Amino acid sequence: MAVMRKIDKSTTLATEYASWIAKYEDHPPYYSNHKYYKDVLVSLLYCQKGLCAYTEILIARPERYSADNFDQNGRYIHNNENDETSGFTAQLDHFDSALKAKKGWDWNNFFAVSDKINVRKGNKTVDNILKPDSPDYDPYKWLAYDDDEHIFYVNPNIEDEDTVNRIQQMIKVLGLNYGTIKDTRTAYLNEKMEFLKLGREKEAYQFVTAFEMIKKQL
Amino acid sequence: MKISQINIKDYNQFKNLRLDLTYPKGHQKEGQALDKICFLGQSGTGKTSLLNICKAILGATFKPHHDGSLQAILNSDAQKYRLKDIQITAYFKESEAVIEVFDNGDVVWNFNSPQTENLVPLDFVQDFYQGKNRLISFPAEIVDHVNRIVQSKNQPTFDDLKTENEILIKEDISFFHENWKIFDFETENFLEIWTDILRDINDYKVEELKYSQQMANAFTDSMEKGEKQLSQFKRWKQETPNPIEKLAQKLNPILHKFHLNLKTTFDFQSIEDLKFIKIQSLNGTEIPYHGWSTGTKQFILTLTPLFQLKTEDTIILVDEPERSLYPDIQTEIIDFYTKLAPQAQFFFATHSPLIASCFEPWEIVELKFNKQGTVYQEHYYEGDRHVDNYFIDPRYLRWDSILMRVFDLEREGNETRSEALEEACLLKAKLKKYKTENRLETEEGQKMLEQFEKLGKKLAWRL
Repeated sequence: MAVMRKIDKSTTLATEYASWIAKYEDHPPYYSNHKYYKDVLVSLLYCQKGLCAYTEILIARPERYSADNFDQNGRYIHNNENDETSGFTAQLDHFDSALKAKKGWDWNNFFAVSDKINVRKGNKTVDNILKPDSPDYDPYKWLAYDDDEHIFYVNPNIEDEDTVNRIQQMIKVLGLNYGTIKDTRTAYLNEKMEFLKLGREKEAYQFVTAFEMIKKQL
Repeated sequence: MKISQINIKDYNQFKNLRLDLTYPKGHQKEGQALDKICFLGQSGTGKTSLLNICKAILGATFKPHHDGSLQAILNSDAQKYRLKDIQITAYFKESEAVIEVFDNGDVVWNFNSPQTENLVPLDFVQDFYQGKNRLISFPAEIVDHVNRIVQSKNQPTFDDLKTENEILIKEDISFFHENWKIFDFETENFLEIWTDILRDINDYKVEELKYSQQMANAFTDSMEKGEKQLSQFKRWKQETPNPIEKLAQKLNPILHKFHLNLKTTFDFQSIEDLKFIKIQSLNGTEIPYHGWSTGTKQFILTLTPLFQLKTEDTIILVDEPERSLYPDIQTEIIDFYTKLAPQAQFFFATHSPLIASCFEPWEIVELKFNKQGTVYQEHYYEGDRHVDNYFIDPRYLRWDSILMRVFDLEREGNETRSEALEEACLLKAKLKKYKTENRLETEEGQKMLEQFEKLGKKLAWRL
């Protein structure tokens, strides 16, 4: 498994949505109180194991995204509306907002992300280099993690300046080092690191890529 | 009286809000009303409203209710809050009272404890507050309020403060004492309040003035009479501590930070010397009130009453205690307040992480809006309300962590810092790589090192 592990979106629990959108060349308008909004969101949370696609902060607990939440027709069952984890709420993000107009329901362009990141990212221009479900995406290739400051930065082995700039820009767009995320990550991973140094590994349920990178450095 | 619970069923932005204001399980004061409470929350969440509720309830006058309870009549100022659907539980030492504000605005106090069974509630409350003050309330705008009064020519000012003799001549002093249970620094009875607060200081000054006049007269008569009068004066000085010196001992440690101290001697050059507190620079130059900094005013106008007034069982409200105070003083001010009034119950409302860091986590009431726009309390514990179950304790956190964890600030610095940090981490990693490859001494390596040093300095080497 691979901030940002690689995300496998090949399974869609929201099968009714999938067959609905397959009929369209130009998609119907996207809006957040659409009947399929939660179907897509929860289905993505299932693929992302409850973590924000970009920052890997926990945005949903397993009971919220389990397959049991879908009926046999592939519709999300709206039975548990008070299901957000405190502080960081799951929202649907169009990775490339430019596609929103005509391909507003494109499964490949959707990610479940933290509300704080969604607001920050807005309609900023994106580069697929850090798109978490791209076939050639590999966080270890592009990113490195500083375990003192708890921030992601460009892998120092990358010499090409243009690539460095592209990654730097995307670190910013995806909010990988955004204050409140970084603060939560610092507290969460420092605990894991302290225990690791004492020979006791505690499992990380969020920030898994950062934790893997730290483990490699220790 | 100490408040242990506030329940608001439906009032303004509050719906079914229940604030438990007692020490949690596992605390040495478990179950007792909190000594101090700090309201936090975004503007509009109702911090000041909660202070106003306390002020209205405490500032009421009472009359016996037909069913044996006590009916409170809110004063005209408090009626503007249109209180309703509020229930407050309070303790008069061991005796519990439930104060209920009904939806028609009626306020009734019920005493439930066995200790009060055979007592007429009105007598009980009057006995309880005998010689005590019910409420001291400092609004956030206390300095602006005083400035407005001082600047207005038609309004009375500190110069209009009366000496005890003047009061005796012009006013019925017993009338004031009957009513001196409430010190609300938002009301317009500015002079009466300050006259009462400074009563012992001004009495002392008048006494000293009398002695100096008597001495002058005695010396005019003869050296012998003069010497006799002088020794009497010296004895009086020895036996009677100067109250302004006691106040100075308390306030000067902080005033010294402003390069000021309280003036403890009197010149008696004019009648004004008998009135308000005087401060001077460390080299002894007196600074008139209009020359005081806002921070000095805030400090003296709030600390002096707490030192001078009796505060046992008093509820003290302080809105924005951080106003105009530099950060170093903010870190000390809560300790200052609480030490001056150790038997009072304090309610603070603040926006300052430095102030918040002075509180135990159960003393903090953080108010937040939910999606429906009503206000709820954000709890800092999981499961049982036990000291061990609290996951946020501001006393243990750095100021910046308090900003993010308690005040929900989303960023730790501005965007420039964030970018520079990423840059510095990349440089650091590259330099490590250069070192292992023995390339540090190359021109490129040196250039990178210089760049790292420059950036590191700007980031105060926090990387």
